[in-house]
Amino acid sequence: MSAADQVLVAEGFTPPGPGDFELPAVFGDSLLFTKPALLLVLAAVLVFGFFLVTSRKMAMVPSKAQYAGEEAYSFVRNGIARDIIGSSDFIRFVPLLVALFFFILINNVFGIVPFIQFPSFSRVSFAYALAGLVWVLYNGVGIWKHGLFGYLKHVTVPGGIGGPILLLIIPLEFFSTVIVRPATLALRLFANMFAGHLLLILFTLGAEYLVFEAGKAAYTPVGVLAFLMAIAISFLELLVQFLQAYVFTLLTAMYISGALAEEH
Amino acid sequence: MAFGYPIGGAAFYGGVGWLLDRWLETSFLFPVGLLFGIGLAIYLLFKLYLNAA
Amino acid sequence: MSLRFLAAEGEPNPLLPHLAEIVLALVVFLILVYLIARFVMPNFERAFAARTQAIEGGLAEAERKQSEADAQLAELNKQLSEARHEAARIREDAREQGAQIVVEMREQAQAESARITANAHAQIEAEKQQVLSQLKTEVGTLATGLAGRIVGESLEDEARQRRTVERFLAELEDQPVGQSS
Repeated sequence: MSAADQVLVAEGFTPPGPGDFELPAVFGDSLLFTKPALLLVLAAVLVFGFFLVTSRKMAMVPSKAQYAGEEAYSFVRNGIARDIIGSSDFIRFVPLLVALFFFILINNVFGIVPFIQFPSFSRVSFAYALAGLVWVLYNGVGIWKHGLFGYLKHVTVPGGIGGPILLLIIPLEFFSTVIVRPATLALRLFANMFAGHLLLILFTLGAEYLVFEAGKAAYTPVGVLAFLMAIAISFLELLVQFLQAYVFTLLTAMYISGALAEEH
Repeated sequence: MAFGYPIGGAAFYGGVGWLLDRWLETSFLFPVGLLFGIGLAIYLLFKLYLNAA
Repeated sequence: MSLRFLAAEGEPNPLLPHLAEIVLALVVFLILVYLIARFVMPNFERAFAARTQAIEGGLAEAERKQSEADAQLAELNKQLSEARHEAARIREDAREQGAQIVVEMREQAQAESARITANAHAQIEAEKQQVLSQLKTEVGTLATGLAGRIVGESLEDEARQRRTVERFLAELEDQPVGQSS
């Protein structure tokens, strides 16, 4: 693959790069009217629209639409919130977790929806925003539950370890809970979406170039193969998009649960 | 969750090593700090999982 | 801001955030959370609670009905067996009574017939005695009468004798039997 790439670069193929993620504004100059920003709003509208339609008329025996809405809602409510946070406290976090999962999921799936084909969270700012919100939330919940110093102790002193080594471990614990968590949360989501989109652009542009522009008949089958690979990667991406939404929501629930826990 | 400890350890002790390097004008403390942080994190993980088990 | 600056420099750094995008994402997401908490979650939770309650209530109701039906069935079975016992007892009584009645009737009938027979015998005997005694007196009277006539008429001829006897017999026939002269 890389050898072929280098040959192509030499002949005039421009490989895709981070520049492909800096899309121009849709209207005028405003940063608020770029494609990713509009997709973000569209995803929120879709998520809320879906749940509003499916939950408006609730019946004891659900219709098909209501059943779909219930299943989607219960997947996060029971499968993530209740199982991780526990049945006494989880209900307060259900709206956040439901919104988080479906908002990220729809934004991710935009990456392979025809004519949209851009995963919003390949813009790192969006991932930073959600991770920052989660960080404020779980630390706030911990401080509310244990008090500021109680929470700092809760976060930095692991149970069952004593002696002088604790002095070395306290900064490590603090770092990994307070600083590493939000960073990995944001970067995991961003990097998966960014890399997946880059891979798709690479294969589709490469296939186009090989078939139509390279000018050598021998490249055509390779180009077709690259295009087939792009289709296969799209399906792989669908899995990754779902998993990243799931992992982000699951980790959020685990951080909240950890902040609420009585002991380590 | 467990993933965070080695990263936190490397970040913190690597940072400490890097600062010490700049202060003492040496160059070996940054990698030492990284390795120490990761080692400490692995030790901590062992301890925690043995306690939990 | 940093976008155009970096674009001018060449490849932008994809890890650098844009403040406008962060604010936009926060605002959009928080609005979504609010809308879900306000308009979606209450509906689902209400439906779930109602369904749980309906299922639990339905189970309790079914259990209650089942136990009620069980009790009723037991009651019915008890009544049925009681009725059977009662019927058997009544039948037994009736049979006993019937047999007794038959025996009584038979005895009564026998006694009656015996009594009637005895009466008849007695009456016949009495009548016989009466007739006999009457006959004895009649025969005596007749004999004396006949003898008187035979002697008084001086026995002229056989023909007269025969006439006399015939007349006597005719008179005898005219006389009612039970009447003594």
